[in-house]
Formats: sequence, structure tokens, C-alpha cells
Amino acid sequence: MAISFELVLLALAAYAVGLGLGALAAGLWSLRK
Amino acid sequence: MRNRPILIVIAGALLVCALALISATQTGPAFVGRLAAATAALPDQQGAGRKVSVRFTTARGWPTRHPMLTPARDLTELERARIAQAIAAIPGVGGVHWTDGTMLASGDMDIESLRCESELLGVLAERTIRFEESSAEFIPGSEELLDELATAMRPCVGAIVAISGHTDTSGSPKVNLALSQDRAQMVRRELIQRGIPGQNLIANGFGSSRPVEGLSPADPANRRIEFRVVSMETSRPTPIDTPAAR
Repeated sequence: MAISFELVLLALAAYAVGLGLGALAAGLWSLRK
Repeated sequence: MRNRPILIVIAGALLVCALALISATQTGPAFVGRLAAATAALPDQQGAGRKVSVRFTTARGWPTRHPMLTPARDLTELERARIAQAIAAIPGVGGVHWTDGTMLASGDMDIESLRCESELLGVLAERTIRFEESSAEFIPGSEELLDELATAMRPCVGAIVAISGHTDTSGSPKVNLALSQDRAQMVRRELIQRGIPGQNLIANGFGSSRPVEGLSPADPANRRIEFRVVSMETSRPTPIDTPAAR
């Protein structure tokens, strides 16, 4: 597997994790009193 | 616009891919160059030098962490294992592949059993255990060979070694099968007498059913004893030996 492909997969995985954490943070923020 | 958040997410993903590709083209070749230099700096017996050529590019020419190894000459399985393990142990190198595809390197390769087998084959390289015709009695001279075999096997603690007896096609197949079994058993008994634990030796006879590759089944050279290291696992108690909770 080429390094470029591995990096793209890694970056996309990190992006997805970031999105998930962002969504979680937004959800928690909306629950505040 | 209702789809706007999705479009932003997709645009973000594309941007991330583009950044990854740009950074890979900027840093990839230098990174792979460092891996190749580390491979070239390996000691000769681990194969960096003349034995194999190592290529850190994919079939399409892209830099990769997973090297392709091409042997420069015929290598034994032990040499292959040593080379592949040494290269795979370099920090940053991923899985190692051979271009002839006969072995893939992984971290848990059973190098010990290969070493044991290689030592046994080394002892038997130019000589073979010979028997009297149609008998399981050794021809004088085989005793010394058995001594050497026992010495080679002693460090292989825990190795399960299969001893297989073979014959040529002369005579009846039934007799040949019994004879090959007797011969393998005889070798096993002799090795046990020389201090090799019997539970680690398995003796089997195959008669004339497995001739040497490339030889006619009738060739007398098919009369032989072969050794193979089956596993390095020490024997574990079976459920019958292990009492269950009452």
C-alpha cells in the first residue's frame, strides 16, 4: 500500500473522529441550562 | 439551503484528502529513502547486501513502507525468515513481501523451528541414514550420523520432530509400508536412546507413496528417512490429563 493512500486513510479517519467529537460537543452544549 | 452542512462536511473531507496527498508527495520519498538506507545498512548475513534486492515502491512506482524483496539467488527458508525479520524490525517498515510470494514476513514467524530444521538438514545434507536391504537394521556408519543428528536436535527444546520413512517401489506395497514404518520407528528408538525425549518424536512410514520430487518412484534413492520440525510448542496436557472441577 502506498504511503499516500495510507496517509489519506489516516487523515480521513482523524477527520471522522473530529466530526464525531464535534457533534458530541455540540449536543452537550445544546443540553446546557 | 438544507444540504449545506453535508456539503461542508464533504468539502472538509476532500480538503483533508488533498492535504494528506500533498504531504505524502512532499515527505514520502525522503521517508522511504531513510528506510532504504536503514535496510542497506543491515549486516550482510541478514540479507541487506547481495542476497536480496529491496524495493520500497509499489508496482505503480509509488513510495511505500511495505518493501518487496527479490532474492538474488535461491535462499533457504531460514535465510528468508532472518532477512524478512531483520527488515521488518526496522522502525517504520510495514509488512514485508517476497516477489516470488513463497513467504510473507510477520512478527511472529516461527524462526526457531526453521533453525532446528535447517540444522537437521545440514547434518543430512550429503549423507543419509542407510539400512540393510529389506530390513530395518542400520548399515554400519549410520550410527555416527545418528549421533550427529541427536547432537543437532538437543538444542531444539520443545520441537516436535516428525521422522518419516520412505521406500522405492520394488517389492510389494504392503511390505514396503511396513518396512518404512519399522525404519522410522528404529530411527526414533535410536534417537531416544541418545537422550532425545520420545514424546517429541513422531515416526511415520509412507512406503513408496511419496517419492522424491523429480525421481522415478522405482529409483533406489527414494529409500530414505526424512526429518521435519512440525511445531515448537511444548506438549500441553489434554483435557483427559487435566482433572475438571468437581
